[in-house]
Amino acid sequence: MKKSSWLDRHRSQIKEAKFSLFLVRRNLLILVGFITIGVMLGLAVFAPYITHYDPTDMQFSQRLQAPSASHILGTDDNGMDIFSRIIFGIRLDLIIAIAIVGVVAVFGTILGVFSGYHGGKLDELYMRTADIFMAFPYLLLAMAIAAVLGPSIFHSIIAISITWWPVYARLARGATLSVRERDFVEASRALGARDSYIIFRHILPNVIAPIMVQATLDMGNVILEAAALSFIGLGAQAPQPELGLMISIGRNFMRDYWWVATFPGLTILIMVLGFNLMGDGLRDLLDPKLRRSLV
Amino acid sequence: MTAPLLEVKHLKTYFYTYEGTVRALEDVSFHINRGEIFGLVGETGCGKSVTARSAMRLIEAPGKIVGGEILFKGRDLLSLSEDELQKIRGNQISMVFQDPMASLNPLMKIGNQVAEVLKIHKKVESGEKLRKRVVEILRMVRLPSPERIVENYPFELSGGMRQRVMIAMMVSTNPELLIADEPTTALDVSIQAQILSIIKSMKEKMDVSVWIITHDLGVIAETCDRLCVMYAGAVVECGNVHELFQNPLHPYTQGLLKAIPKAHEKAERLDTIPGSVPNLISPPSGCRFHPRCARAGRECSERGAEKVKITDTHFVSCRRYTEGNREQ
Amino acid sequence: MKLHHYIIRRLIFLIPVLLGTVTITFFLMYSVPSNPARMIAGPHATGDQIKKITEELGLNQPLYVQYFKYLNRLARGDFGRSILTRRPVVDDLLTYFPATMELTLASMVFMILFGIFFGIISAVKRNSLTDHAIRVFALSGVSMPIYWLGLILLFVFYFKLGILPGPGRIDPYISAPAHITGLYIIDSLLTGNWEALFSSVKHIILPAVTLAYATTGMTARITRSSMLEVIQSEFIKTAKAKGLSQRKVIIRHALRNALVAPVTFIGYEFGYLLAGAVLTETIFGWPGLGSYAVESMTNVDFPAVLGVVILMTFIYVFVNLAVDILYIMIDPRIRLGE
Repeated sequence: MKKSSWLDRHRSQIKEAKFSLFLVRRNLLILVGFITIGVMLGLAVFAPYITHYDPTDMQFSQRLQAPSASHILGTDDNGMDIFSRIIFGIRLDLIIAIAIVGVVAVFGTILGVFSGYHGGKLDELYMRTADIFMAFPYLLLAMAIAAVLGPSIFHSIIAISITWWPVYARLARGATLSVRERDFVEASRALGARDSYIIFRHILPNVIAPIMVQATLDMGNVILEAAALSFIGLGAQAPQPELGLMISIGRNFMRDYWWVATFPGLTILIMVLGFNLMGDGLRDLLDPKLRRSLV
Repeated sequence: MTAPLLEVKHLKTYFYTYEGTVRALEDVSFHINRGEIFGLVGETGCGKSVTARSAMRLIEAPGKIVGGEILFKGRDLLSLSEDELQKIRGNQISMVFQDPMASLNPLMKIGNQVAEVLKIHKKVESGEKLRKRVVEILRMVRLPSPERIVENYPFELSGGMRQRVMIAMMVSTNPELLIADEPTTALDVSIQAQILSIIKSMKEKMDVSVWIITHDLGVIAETCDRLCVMYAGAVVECGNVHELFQNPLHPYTQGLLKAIPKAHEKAERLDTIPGSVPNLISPPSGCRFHPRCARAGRECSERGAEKVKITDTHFVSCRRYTEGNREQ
Repeated sequence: MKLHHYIIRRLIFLIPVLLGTVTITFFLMYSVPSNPARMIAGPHATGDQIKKITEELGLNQPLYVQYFKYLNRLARGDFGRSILTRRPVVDDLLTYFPATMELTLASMVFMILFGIFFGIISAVKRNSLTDHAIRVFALSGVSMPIYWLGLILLFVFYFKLGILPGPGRIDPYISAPAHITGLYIIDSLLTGNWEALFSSVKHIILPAVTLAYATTGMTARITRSSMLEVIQSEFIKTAKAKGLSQRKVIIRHALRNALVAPVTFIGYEFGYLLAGAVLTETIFGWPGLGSYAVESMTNVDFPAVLGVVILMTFIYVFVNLAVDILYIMIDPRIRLGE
């Protein structure tokens, strides 16, 4: 009897993967999201090579110029080239977002999985704490913390992280609980599997999917929040090329020099839209029920 | 002989899905006479519900009725506009669904749901008169304290009571045909008998022809006058109840009847039909039952089944049919 | 369980949450900076000035003592005194509260009306051009910075087209209506002050639309998905089998069941609105809690910051509770069940 090949054994997984690709191709919006983020990443990584202007170089003789051949998106009140500032701003905001989401997702997920899996008093405690953090309206607590730490990008990262972790803890815990109750987990345990094995082999795969969706969406949300903090003055400080800060500066010149505030905001919109499209698409792709209904 | 109430001719219904086209109904033909209780029987997935929903034109994307005619009192339902169909649904042809819990609006009081049909089709004005009629109908299906039930929500009633409400709702407009799609499947065995008895009494009292869909041969034996057996999207045998149960001719029908465990016979193994239901995206060629049929021959897979008339009422779609329990 | 039992239980559970938020805010603020007094005094303060402030505000005492003292005063409604305005924070809060309330309410009206309307249309006309347009609009709402949207709207409608007025709640040459509720629109209606009414309404349009834009989109999405789910249900098939027209099926059966989800979401969206108010008020010079929050935070006015954060959080928590109770009252399954 011939031994089954790798292809044979993984036939159903390959079928599912093919289906995923098909769905992505059919669903234009997801594709747009992917492409947008790809472009953004490219801009961020190759920023210094794309523009020859230094984003923080002030040329007062060039201030408040409308978009032209030499300055594609114009200049701001300090004579800095807006296009360059935007490119570097994309890089800055992406770094901030990755830092926050990375830390928060990992930390929150670990906490949530262990809390949900072991249950008991500790679980109660963690979740009550998470509930309390989530009782604050969005942005408010982060503002207060950033204010008290002193305005800077680093502090705004800390502030946002403190307010964001409960989301992942809750999500991970919920996913853990739903898997934990399933029969195959109990069967596993009856066969003598150790806790760590069960967590890695059974719980984590089920938790990864919603966490990934949330993380993708949160990349956009965190960028919005970080930009908002900078806009108020509690985050990035001049002359850093942060998109929210640029809007704040441009606000004073809106009437006659609209480009200073408009383009940074447009950039934020495109970036966050890209992440939202990707996240939405990811959610549809990974949810088994929705997969079938997409055709 | 008077014309049949409902005549389904060569009905074809397909579902267009990612994996392919599901040929759910491939040339389904049968008729239902006035004043009879007609049964459509077959295992899950054979297309009985699809047939009923096609008759009511309730098939939605990705499904589509692609061919055939459905003559109701002479008019082809497949050619009518949506407006005309709305006058027929709930009014001349009504349908009772399988799961009464899911089929009733959970946020609407029972009284309002029943009254709705009357308001639309019989133009009964809201008020005391309407309320009385609703209570009357609920009483007809033997619901206790109908005046109180009118104020209840579906979740406050038991499964059997809910199904009775569904029946009441659907016969209140005095339709000519009542389609009951698996009316007892979701209910306890003890309740089943009650529901079937109510359906029979409705037929008597309101002069309604009934079309019952089920996979349970016991239900058929107890309530129906005539029946048709379906398999994988096609009708394989039709006849009145006595004829079919005593003299089943199609191998599938015979298999079904043999598979029923008989309490008075000693046996060690239950008879089953070998094989399993075919995939309707790529169904077997010709007669869809041939892969599982002990008597299948070359013409069965190449030229398909042939409809044969045995008596005025007994038809079978088979080239190799044999008499009842006597093997040839 | 009976409705009042549920309410009482929820209120009891509320206490640890409220206490928790106060505690977290307090400790995060007062324990984080190395020397709050220095921050308050500013970068040019002398050692003596700092010492004076430290004693005045009791900042030299151990943290937990300060905490309990604060709780004590809070229970009596004393939020302390603002360093910037020198007034009791409570007074500040009460002054700025109505403006935010008015803006939030106006936004909620807009959000509920348009959000649910667009959501329904989107679901009923699934995959049509209208549906896609609405979904893109909804997505754009949650993807753009509110303050940027406000700026653009101001630019277009005020600077360029001049059809809507600029920042502020009311035309500077018209005096505010007599103070009954603090909500200009209501007050002018009640006193028959048509001039003030007209002006207030015109002034609130842009800020309300700005604030509501994102949440209208969210509402539309939730309504859409809820509606789509309901449309697939069995009882909708029954309704169709009864011979109801598509329109009647949607309005009489689908709608009520589909609206359950968006209604419960409104509580969460309110939180979004509160936060958005912070950013929107800044752009439109709207004298509400949001502006007050930004000002106190940029000036590190500890008592004011604490006060405004606590107030806004409490409002958020109570609104969520109210929505939960409302939900229970709407759904008879929960109200009458068990």
